[in-house]
Amino acid sequence: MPLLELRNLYKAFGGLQAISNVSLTVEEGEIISVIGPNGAGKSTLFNLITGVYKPDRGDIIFEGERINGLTPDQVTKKGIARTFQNLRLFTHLTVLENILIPQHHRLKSSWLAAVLRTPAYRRQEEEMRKIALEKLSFFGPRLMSFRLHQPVYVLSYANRRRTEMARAMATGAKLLLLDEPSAGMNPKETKEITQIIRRFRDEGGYTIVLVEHKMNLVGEISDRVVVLDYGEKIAEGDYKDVVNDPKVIEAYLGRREE
Amino acid sequence: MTASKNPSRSTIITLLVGAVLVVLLGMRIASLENYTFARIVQDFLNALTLGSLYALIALGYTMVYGIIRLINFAHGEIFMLGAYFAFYAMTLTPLNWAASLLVTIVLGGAVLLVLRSLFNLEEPKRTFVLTLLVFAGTFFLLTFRKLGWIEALALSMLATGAAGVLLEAIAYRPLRGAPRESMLITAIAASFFLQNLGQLLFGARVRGFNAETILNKSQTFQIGQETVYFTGILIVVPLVTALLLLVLNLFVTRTRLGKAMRATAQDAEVAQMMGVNVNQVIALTFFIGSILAAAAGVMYAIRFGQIHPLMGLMPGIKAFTAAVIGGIGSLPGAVLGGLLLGFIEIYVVSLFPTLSAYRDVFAFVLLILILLFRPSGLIGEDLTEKV
Amino acid sequence: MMRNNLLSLASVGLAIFALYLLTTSEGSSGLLSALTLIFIWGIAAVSLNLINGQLGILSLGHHGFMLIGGYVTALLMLPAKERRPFRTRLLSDWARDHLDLDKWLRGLGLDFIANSVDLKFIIALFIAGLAAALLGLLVGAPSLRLKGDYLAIVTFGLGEILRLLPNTREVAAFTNGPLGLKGIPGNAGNIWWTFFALLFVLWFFSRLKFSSYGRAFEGIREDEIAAEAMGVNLAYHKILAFTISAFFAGVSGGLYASYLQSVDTQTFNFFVTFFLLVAISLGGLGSITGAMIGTAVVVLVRVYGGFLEMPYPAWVSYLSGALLMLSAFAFSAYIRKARRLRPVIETKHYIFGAIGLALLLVAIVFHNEPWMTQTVQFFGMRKMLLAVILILIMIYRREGIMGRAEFSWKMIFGPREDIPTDEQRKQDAWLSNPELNPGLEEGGDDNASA
Repeated sequence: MPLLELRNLYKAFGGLQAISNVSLTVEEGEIISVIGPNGAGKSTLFNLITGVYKPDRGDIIFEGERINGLTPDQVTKKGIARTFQNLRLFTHLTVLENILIPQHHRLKSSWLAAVLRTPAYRRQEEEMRKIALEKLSFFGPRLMSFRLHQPVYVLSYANRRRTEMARAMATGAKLLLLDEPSAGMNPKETKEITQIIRRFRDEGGYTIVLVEHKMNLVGEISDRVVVLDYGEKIAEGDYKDVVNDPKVIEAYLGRREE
Repeated sequence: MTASKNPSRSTIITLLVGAVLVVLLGMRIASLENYTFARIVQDFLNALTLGSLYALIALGYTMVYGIIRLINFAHGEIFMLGAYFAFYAMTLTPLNWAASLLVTIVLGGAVLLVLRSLFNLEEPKRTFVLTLLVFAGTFFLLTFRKLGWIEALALSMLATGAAGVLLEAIAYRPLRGAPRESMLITAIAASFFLQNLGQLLFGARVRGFNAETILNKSQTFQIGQETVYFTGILIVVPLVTALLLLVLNLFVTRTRLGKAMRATAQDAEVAQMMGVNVNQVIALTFFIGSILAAAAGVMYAIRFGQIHPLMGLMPGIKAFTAAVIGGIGSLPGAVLGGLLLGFIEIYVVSLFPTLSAYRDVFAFVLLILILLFRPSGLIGEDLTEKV
Repeated sequence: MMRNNLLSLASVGLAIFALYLLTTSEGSSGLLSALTLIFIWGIAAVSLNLINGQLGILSLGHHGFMLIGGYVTALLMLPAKERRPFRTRLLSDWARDHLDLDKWLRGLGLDFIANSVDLKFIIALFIAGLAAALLGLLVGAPSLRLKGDYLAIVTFGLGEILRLLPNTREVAAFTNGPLGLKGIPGNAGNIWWTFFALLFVLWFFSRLKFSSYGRAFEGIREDEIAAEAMGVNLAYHKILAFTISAFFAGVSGGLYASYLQSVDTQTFNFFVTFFLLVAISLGGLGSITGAMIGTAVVVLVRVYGGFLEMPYPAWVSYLSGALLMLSAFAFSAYIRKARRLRPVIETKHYIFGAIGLALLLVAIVFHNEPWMTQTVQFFGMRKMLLAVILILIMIYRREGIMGRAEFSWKMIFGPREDIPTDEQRKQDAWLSNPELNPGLEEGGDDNASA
């Protein structure tokens, strides 16, 4: 059974058809890249999967269960987490708090238990802190010592991106949707993030779908590449095949004038 | 992105609700015995006046919201100031020459300061002479004449307009770009400040407002066998309102500044890039809104015969409700909403006299329902956030 | 941790001792009633802070919750008196029969509790809180659909509706309309009630704030969409916050009613919400400590600011106005010079200073003239002062005194966790600086990610 299955998705906004008959299958443990020119509908696709938008037609099936129409927090509880293209961190909260909040939905204690600090609650708090450090350890010691207690707004851009990814992992999800994870990173940082994403899958067991523009990143880690243009899937397959597909080239560069 | 051709769900619901209400009203009218045609006409006149007043105040709310997305909580106090300025204009004049001079200079200076930025003065000599004439005229007016209601109205409009601009400059401009909640809090604080300032300067007690007897003299006319009672003000208010609306419409659609206002309301940043002086436009918006509120204040005072420093609270809320009903940000919406609210208020109380104690509660309930179920109002714009 | 707990316990003990001294000393009744008011309004402010500060939702209907709490407490606690209208007696009769735990405790032999503590009052407050909490559910519901200032207006409307209802004929049967309810037992007049209530409230809210739920609230404040994406159920948490906040607002309303020993339709009007708004904005939105500091300032202005509203000869007002304007001018000039921020003193500042100077001269030159010696009295100065304070805060320091920070012993004694030690700083630099870390070249080695 595939981990995620999109069947004939359609989504329109007013008169604009943002997603048109998109189908996709994601097996567990894969790393899939979604590419395409700007405005092709890549972020919309993520929004559909995570429940921010409801599809007009079609189904979204996760672990065999149809998740159309679930709210974003419910989708996250099912095991899908995302990062945002424009970074949506909790800016005035500390790094640690940013990584603890995504674990809140797994808390079994009620608010009353939290106020009373029951032993069960205390245990879960301990657990959550341990998990937080564990997720941050993917990025080395960078975010694990004093930076834990610094508010996010003092962090560098690259550190913020890392925090955002750690946050997505902290939700306890199986499937990570990474929206342009290397945006704004220099080549050295991009190389680093490429390794880290691969380690997410290899060591963390995550399945990953990413939207990316940097082809070297895409080429290096993707098992499969999907190309969207004007809301439609125009190609899918190996990186090498897709990149040489004339339709894909036309979408990015336009047709050669004869 | 083309708009959907199908009417949205909330439009359909609104129309249905409206239809149901009309049917209910009709049934109620039929069931009342003494609800004659004369009563309908009587209520109509009252409703038209009240609605016009609400419309004038609502325009101020909607214009300011359209331009800087601020709910000007203190607008009701501007309305109150308008009434009081007129009151003092009528009761204190004629002034002794010293006071007259002072008032002319201060008022003239303030208006000039506000308006100088609005007009690019090309011919200094001509403008100077004009200004001198206006100043002199005002001075003589104040010194030698006991002002009638029309002159008081005009003077009050200018003074209140200046007050509105002053309010914006002191309390709102420093917060340009701040989150909207902060601006709302500031507006609330300004409202309280002005209420208490009013109580301080004008005395907290209710005062009688006596305008020209012609306006207040009870008149009647006959319809069939019934008598309809009205006073002159019920004719004057809709006329003055119509006149003001006409001028406003001409200004907004035909003049350069009006165009600048509409542009700024749509996108202030781009308007600025196109050479619009956004500060000026915002000041102008407050000026116009305050002028209209002042007119409403004076006419309200004549109609109900009383003023007090807290008189702006409920009319302010109701006018804001009217603006929301019509669609906040939309000028015709404000007028529509104002008239609608006036009619609803008068007719509901007339048809269900036992509910009159719930008048104010009703206004709040309406406001909440509209905000919850049709925040864009009847005519207004739609606002969503992109992820 | 241990040290912090001991310090906290010690300070509470100190506060109790100081309070005890106050209650036994002469002539301190003024201070004591000021403190009582600070405690009561403090509870209201801290509860409002949960929504406006932590959750980040501007709610303007708090006076409605307090009103419910006040009336319910009054109705439950009213002593027996035949001449009351029937419906107002209804609840108090029931309360007297069923809430009288004293009998039950005496039966158990726990006389000392029954004698020292009026349990009925505690239960009445609890019920009042529950009633208000029920309404908190109602007021919280719109927050699921609306945002920002529209939502604020809706909460304002709901608060006002609650304020207007006791005047209407149907509800007035219970509330005695504009005349209100008088003769409420004055338990809250005794400062220990309000003190321990406040202590409980502070404990509760700080526990809540530093728990996972508190973080969830703040996450919603920071970025609602992100919070939802991270699994936070917005509806549940918003309603939860409103309900808890309303509960304690109701409790504070009940305490206030007991303090005043009467309630009527004017006791809890919009000015109450405004008052609290000034308090928490001044102290710092999102900070419990800030809410208390703000409340203290605001209550002190209210209680001791009376001198502003006394009659004075006119020249005094001119003089004080002049001094105020001149010092404002001097302060803004100094700030600009000292901070080197926009060191331009603009025209408007000069105008301000000039008017101040003019007023000063007028006051000095004419102070013996008859029109200067007649007395003036400025009513409402305290309210105007509060309004001015709020506007100044919004313009110059929106985050208030404390911002979002909370007082903690760490501030004074403890280690700072967010500042790197030299070791850590070196390591951090090494990680990101290619000059120090030659292995970090472009296209470099895999160890860079370790």
